[in-house]
Amino acid sequence: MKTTVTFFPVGNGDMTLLKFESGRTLLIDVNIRDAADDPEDDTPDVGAELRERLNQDDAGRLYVDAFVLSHPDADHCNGLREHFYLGPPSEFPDDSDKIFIRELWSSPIVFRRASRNLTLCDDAQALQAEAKRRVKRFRDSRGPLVEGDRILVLGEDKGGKTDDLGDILIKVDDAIQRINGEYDRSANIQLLAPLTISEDDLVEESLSKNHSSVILRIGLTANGNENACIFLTAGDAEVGIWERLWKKHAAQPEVLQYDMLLSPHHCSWHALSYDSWSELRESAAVSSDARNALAQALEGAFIIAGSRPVKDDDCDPPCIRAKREYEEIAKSVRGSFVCVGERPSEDNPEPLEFEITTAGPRHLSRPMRVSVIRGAGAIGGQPLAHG
Amino acid sequence: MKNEATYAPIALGRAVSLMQRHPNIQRVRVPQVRNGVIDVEAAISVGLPSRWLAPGRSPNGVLPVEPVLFRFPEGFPLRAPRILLRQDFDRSLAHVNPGPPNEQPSPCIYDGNLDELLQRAGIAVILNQLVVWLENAALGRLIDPAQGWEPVRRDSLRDVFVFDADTMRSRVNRDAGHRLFRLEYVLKQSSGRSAIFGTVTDSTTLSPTSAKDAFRKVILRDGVQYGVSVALFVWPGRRATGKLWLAGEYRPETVCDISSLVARAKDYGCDTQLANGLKWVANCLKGGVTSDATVPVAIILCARRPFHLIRSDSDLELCPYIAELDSKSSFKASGATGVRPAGHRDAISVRLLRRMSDTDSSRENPRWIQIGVGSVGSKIALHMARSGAAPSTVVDSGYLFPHNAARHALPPVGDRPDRACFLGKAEAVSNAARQLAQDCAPFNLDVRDVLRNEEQMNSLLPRRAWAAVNSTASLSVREALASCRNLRLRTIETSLFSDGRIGLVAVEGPDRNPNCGDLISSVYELALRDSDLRRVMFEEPDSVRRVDTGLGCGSPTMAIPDGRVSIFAASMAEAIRLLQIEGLPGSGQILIGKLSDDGIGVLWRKFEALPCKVVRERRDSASPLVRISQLAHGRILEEIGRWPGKETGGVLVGRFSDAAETFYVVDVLTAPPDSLRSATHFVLGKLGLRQSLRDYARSCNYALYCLGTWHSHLSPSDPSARDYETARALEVSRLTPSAVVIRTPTDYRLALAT
Repeated sequence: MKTTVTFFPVGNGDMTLLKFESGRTLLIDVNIRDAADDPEDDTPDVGAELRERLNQDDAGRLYVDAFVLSHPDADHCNGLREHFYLGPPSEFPDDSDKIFIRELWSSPIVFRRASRNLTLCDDAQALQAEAKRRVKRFRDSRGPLVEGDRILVLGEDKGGKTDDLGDILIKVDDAIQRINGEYDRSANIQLLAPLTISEDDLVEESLSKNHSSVILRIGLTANGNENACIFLTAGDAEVGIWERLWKKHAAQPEVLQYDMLLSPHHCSWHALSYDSWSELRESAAVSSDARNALAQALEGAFIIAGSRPVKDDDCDPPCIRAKREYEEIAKSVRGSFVCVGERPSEDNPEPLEFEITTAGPRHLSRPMRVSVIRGAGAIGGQPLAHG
Repeated sequence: MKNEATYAPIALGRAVSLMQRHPNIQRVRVPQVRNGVIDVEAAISVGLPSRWLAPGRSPNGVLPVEPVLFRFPEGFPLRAPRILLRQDFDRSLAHVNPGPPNEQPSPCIYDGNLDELLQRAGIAVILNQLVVWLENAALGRLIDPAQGWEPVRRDSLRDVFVFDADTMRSRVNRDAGHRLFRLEYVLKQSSGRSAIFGTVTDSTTLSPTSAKDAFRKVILRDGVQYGVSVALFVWPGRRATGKLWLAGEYRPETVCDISSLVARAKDYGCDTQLANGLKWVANCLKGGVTSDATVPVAIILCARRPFHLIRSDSDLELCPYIAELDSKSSFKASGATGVRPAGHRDAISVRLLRRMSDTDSSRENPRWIQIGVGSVGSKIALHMARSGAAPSTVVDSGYLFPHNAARHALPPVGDRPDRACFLGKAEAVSNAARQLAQDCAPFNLDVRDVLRNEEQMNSLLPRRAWAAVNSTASLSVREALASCRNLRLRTIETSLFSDGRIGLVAVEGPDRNPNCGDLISSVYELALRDSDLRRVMFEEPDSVRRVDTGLGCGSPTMAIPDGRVSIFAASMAEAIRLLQIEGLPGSGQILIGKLSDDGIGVLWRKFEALPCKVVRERRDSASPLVRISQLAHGRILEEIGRWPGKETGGVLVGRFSDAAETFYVVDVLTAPPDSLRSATHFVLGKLGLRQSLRDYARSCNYALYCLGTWHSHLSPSDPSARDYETARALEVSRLTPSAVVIRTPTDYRLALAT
């Protein structure tokens, strides 16, 4: 089966679908805004695009084998309640067209109570409740869980809150060997973050949810060749995390190597620098450790910005200066920087899809659609005055 | 006024504008007019994997941005642009159209006609296809071993040879060899170039001495030449290691002369056989052609591929070429002698017909007999033959007359239609089947006579055959088939009724129960219960009339157009084809088709026909029979259940066949209210019965009518004296034979007056 990685045009936000050679699917984050569901709005209908790519189970439900929320910010979980089923699998309504999550991968932040540093949007709260429900199922059953109840907790939490999680706890630097309860050789997934940080650290460093971001290094198999593409995905991890990662892996930088990088926090300057881009502009300083952590690109690598078009302005994210840094990194390996919001055009961005081949990822061409040629154009899209 | 083809500049402008907006086209250069064509160059981005982006090309040389030339012909937009790749594009990739090395390579991006694709889907789809092609080329996916080896595309070549590839392949063994075949060809000159259409037929053992009469050439008209020549077939053997010579490398079709042909034969491991074969052909030509002449010779090279060809189970690719050898050089093929690649078309064969009909070609063709090849039967037979399942036998005593030209599947042949008469219909269909590469034995016989002759019947209608399809539309043939108790072969009747507004396919059940007599009786019963069918079949005037076919001559037939016959005949043929694929049903089957009110469509309904209860008076084979339909049987049991401990009864309705000496009981009518029931006897009353029987028979125009009575016995006893008395009373009271049927707790018994 073809291995693909699809980045959906969700503005400044992330939504990435991986289809492994085994046929299993992993969805990383979701950002289906109300406007995307509105047929009258020009925002790409990413909900429909996602559904088109999912398989149906025997009960006719669309499903993902695993869903991971990198961190509980709205631009990573918008539309979750609208499009995904959250609740006990036995209570899935017959007439529902929601997407079924066979296994949920959650960061340990779900165990934290809301606080000044942790306010959650409605979708994030719903996911937190679902994660808690699944963890409770695990604790109550003490045995293998069924699809729809399965959960993995990615990273340990402070104070021993996660110590009793046994098989469902993935510690940092460990491999996730099973997807939806099954060993899957078509993906070598290693958890690089969230690093275990105490709540005190969070307060001290004025760190936010972004620091709880799950960072995964995913080696994808193509035609039986393991690690045909190394994909690094990092949610909104910021400069402090990258510095720590570099310090940790500087002696073995291959841990951070990639053929494809989803640039953290939608091409944000804050993944590379502590300085404010809008205030300091070109005099803002790059953290060399953070840059090193993000510069381990392999030959021909793609660096993806999951963001709106990158403009030369004060905006951050996406930040033009960050783009320049990434372009430089890409150029050094004759790779390329691609912004999801700009492909194929800024006016009409479409899902950016890569096929994983034995020679690495390749950008899958999108055929020119008849709807583009024979669509109604302006008619119906805007009021047309007639004299 | 000369209708000059011109460019449609607006259409071209639109195409270029659309090209500019294609997501994979980086830039489009201003169109250049050159020698009557317009070239548009575009830079197409190709999605290469990341690790090839650093070296800037795929291992086989495809660039991340490929320059492509779109050569728009004068006929655009009726004709699609030609797509040309850069001169140094790797030609050894599969799916590159054949062409000489000095021309830019042209990719074969679509498995079909590009002109048609342009009309259907527009230039964008051609661009999409091209992008997919370039990416597959880069990724080495143009040939997928799982799908099979892709043979060189030869469908756009002017010269074409027809031969049966399987027959040719069957000559190939593990040792290299060559063989000559007879080639019949037509050569046409057009646009200053010759094009040859040839048929390679039987193998021939030509020698220089026997070649005298082997070569012929006749100029027909307008420079069209018909001739007979030879085809040289050459195949590979083994390598020095003893292993079979496999040609595993894909090579573009660039053969243009004998030198390049020999080089190609060398790749395929058959160059020695080619040289020997060409020498032999030259010697034969010298012996056989006396005048100054150029003789076209077909050369078919065979390449053994490492895996099977796409959509084929053979690994042998056959590559035909044409060489025109001339007497001035003693027909010797020198290196510079011109050679052109030629196309191949499969000869007509059952396999080809089945492939075209999407029918499994591995399945053995069942032996079946078509009785009656008039307007309906001939169409069914030809539909079946075209799907590779011609009848093995056709029986029809008729001859083709001029009026048959209106509806028979076979139009008159020859220069003068009136001379085409007096050919037996069976023979005409048999000839047509032969043209379709199938054997179909014709018998110019009346099937009613065949059924009377046991030996002939067993020979023409053997019980081991699949089925006999009766398309005679003859009541007497149906009766003959129904009454022939020794006939073991299931029959399928196909008929039209009511001015071709109703069609019937009636399939007899296993052991001919229900038989065609039962089935037609059930059809009448079904029509009686369906107001629409009843109106068409029974209430409107009899549609069969005598149509004049000459002075004092006429044919009793329905005067309906050929198209209407075909509407039904096509469905009937499909029904038969599907029955052959799926097997005859486990019971009888009735398909009734009704022409739509607008006269252009047919709606078919399917009914299951369960076996009848067969009641005999005596054990001998000539005994009259009563055949009771499942419907009637069910109603009889129901009525008995209603009167426990008492005899009850009713009236039998259906039809009687004189020929078959058979009562076909389709239904029973309830006894009138003044009937008397007791443990020892049943008396059928009369209140309103005469009227209801009259109404019943009238409602179906007397197709079905009263057949007698039935009653129950409480024990398994034979007819009583009273029963026979009633039977005799019935007998004398009417002209139609009557039956008295008794239902005992275990079976049926029969009392007849005589």
